[in-house]
Amino acid sequence: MLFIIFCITDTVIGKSLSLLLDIIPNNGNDITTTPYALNKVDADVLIVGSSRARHHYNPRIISDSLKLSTYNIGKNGNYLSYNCCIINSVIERYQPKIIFFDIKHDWLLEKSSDSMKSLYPFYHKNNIIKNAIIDNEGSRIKIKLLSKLYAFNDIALRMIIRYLQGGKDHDQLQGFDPLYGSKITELDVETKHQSGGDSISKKKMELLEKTICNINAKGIKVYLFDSPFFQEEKIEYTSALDSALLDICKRCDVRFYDNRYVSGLSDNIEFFYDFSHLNNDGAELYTNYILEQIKE
Amino acid sequence: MTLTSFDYLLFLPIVFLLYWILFSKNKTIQNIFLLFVNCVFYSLWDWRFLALLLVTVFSTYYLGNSVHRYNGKKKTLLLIVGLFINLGILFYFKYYNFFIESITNLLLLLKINVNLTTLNIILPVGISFYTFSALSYLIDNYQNKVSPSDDFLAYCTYVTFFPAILSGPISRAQKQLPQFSYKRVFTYQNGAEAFRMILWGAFLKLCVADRLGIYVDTVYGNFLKHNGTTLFLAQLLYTLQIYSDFAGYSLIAIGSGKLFGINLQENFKRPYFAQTVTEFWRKWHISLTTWFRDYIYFPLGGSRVKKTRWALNIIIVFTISGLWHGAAFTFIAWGAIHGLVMIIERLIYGDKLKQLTERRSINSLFRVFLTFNLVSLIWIFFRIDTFNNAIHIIKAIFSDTGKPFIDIPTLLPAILSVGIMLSKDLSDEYNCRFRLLENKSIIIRFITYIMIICYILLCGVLDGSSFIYFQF
Repeated sequence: MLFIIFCITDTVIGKSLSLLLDIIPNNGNDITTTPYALNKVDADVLIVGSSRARHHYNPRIISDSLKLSTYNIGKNGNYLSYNCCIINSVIERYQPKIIFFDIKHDWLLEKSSDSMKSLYPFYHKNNIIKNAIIDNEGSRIKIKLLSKLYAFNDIALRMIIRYLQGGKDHDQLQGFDPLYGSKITELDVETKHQSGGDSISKKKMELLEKTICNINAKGIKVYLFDSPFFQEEKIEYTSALDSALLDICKRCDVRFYDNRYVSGLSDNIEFFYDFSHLNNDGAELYTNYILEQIKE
Repeated sequence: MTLTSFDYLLFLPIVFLLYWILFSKNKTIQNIFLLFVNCVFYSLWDWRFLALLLVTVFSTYYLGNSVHRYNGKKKTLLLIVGLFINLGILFYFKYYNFFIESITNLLLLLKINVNLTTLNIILPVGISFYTFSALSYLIDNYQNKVSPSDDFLAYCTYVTFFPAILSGPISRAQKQLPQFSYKRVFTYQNGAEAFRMILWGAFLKLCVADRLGIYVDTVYGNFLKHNGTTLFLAQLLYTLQIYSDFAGYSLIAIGSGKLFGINLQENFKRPYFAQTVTEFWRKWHISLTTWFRDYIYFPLGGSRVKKTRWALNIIIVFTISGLWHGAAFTFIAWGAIHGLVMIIERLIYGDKLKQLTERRSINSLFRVFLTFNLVSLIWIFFRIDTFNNAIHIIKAIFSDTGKPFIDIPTLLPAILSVGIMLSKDLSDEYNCRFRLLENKSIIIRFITYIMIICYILLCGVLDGSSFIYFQF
């Protein structure tokens, strides 16, 4: 009896939360990034990636330069599997002209975090997402996601707060989330970013390659970037991981811009909010830099 | 498989149903099945240490039975052999490297250079807990508090009992072993009570402890960057985290045991409502403190000795308690400081110490507040890795004020969960008549269960985390 009442409650609250997610105004908050990307975005240029995409690429600058509408669907704390899934789902709905895919080099490592939790609320609504989640997390997730509430674990409270905050359903910054100032202090000592160490995941490599091929098949231009880190001097990246990434790009005939070190940007602490994220000034400089790169 | 993992959520009902439907004919069949399940459960952690567990079982059983047959020197010798084997194993796996490093550092201070090698030792899960449960049988036999058991199967099942083997509660031969010696019968009341314990335990662990842990770990992981106000907040939240983590785990373990007809030792009695540190230790990790009381404190003379000797007994017991928690000087310091505070309390309150806690007044509220803050401060030594870092944090708390680091998305669900936990604890502590979980109305009970389950699903940290006490 308890189990039956729980199932009914789970379904009712789960469906309510699903509806709520659809109606929360999209004014640049992290919660609505995914539903907006899946259901509504229709820009000519899409910027995809993690927090580094979200904070590093200014859509307004790209839009002004390329004369194409641009939207940044980068999402904090979401990496390879999430982004590949988002790309595959979005381009199934519509075909943008260009995709800027910001990919961090260590996404391809076996041990790197790759949760698809942000996509759980869409598990029952989208087959591409459903299959991707099962593929990434194993068949056990099918049992867990029988619970509609489980899909909203960790975000329900934030959703409710966002909804209550209200606001217009319009994101002036087109998904871009600028950071201001710098948190880097003299106490911080880590300045080098090395690739490798852990083993490369064959599964992740295949996923990336498959996604890029899918983008190409739809006639969409795609550029891969690894955006800057703060580092005082240039490091030559020659690990197996770097080679693996280059191999994928060669096979898919895609340009990869390894911008981990950009002279005048990466070595200047004033452009960084923290070691991995540019601040607004840095993002402006970097966006202009990549536009020059692709024009070349 | 931790007790809040998805695997355990599948494992427990299957084992429960098999136990009562197929393997409940008599106590022997019940114990055979449970023993099998216990071994499988432990093996899932690390099958290599199953052999070690069996060494503890065999040695304490055989020596416990033998010790009962003799008197005088031979009796004592058998006890010493049993203690030597089992504490020796515990020492090797848990303290060998700490011992070597301490000796090396001490010799270096004396300007003697010695090259002693540490070993790459993996700590067997639960060794601190099951060793103590097993030694309880040996020591109780020595003290003639229990009779030797002729049921080896029951004894095996008692030591290896899966709900308690990893992180307690520490079972006692006098209380838990007899329960394995007769056929257990299922009652709806026991089942319902067990369910409530597991549910509330899961809430404490997943919604309170793990939520708080996100903030606490962030601050403590970079404590040099944070001001005193933030460190104070982190320390406060850690105080709540460690309680809800361990109390939650214990409740799940006790509830799981109850599902199979076994009543494990109650382990927590709302310790932060204690009016003195002395009272705190009667409410915190009860199974461990009573073990130390019965097997170390009382044999040393307890409180029936001169004051100076009593003070020494307290310091010894709490220093050992600190060492039990971890092979580091910070744990020893943590234990010793608690002992010191208890001594000071005895000096201040004298014989009125016990009566103090029986009364409730404005003064008692003040004492609760003071005790909570004192215990909270001492937890810093438990959490941090070095003595110097602990001192740095304490100094910062009292001198380096500033705007605290607040992360709303992390703290909001945590504070909400703490509020719920506090409401229930207040209700239990002050015997509030209206209860939700234990309400007489089945409708209110069911609504409460559903709300808690929904809350866990929405706000619990469900992506896997281990219990703080697992490291012991």
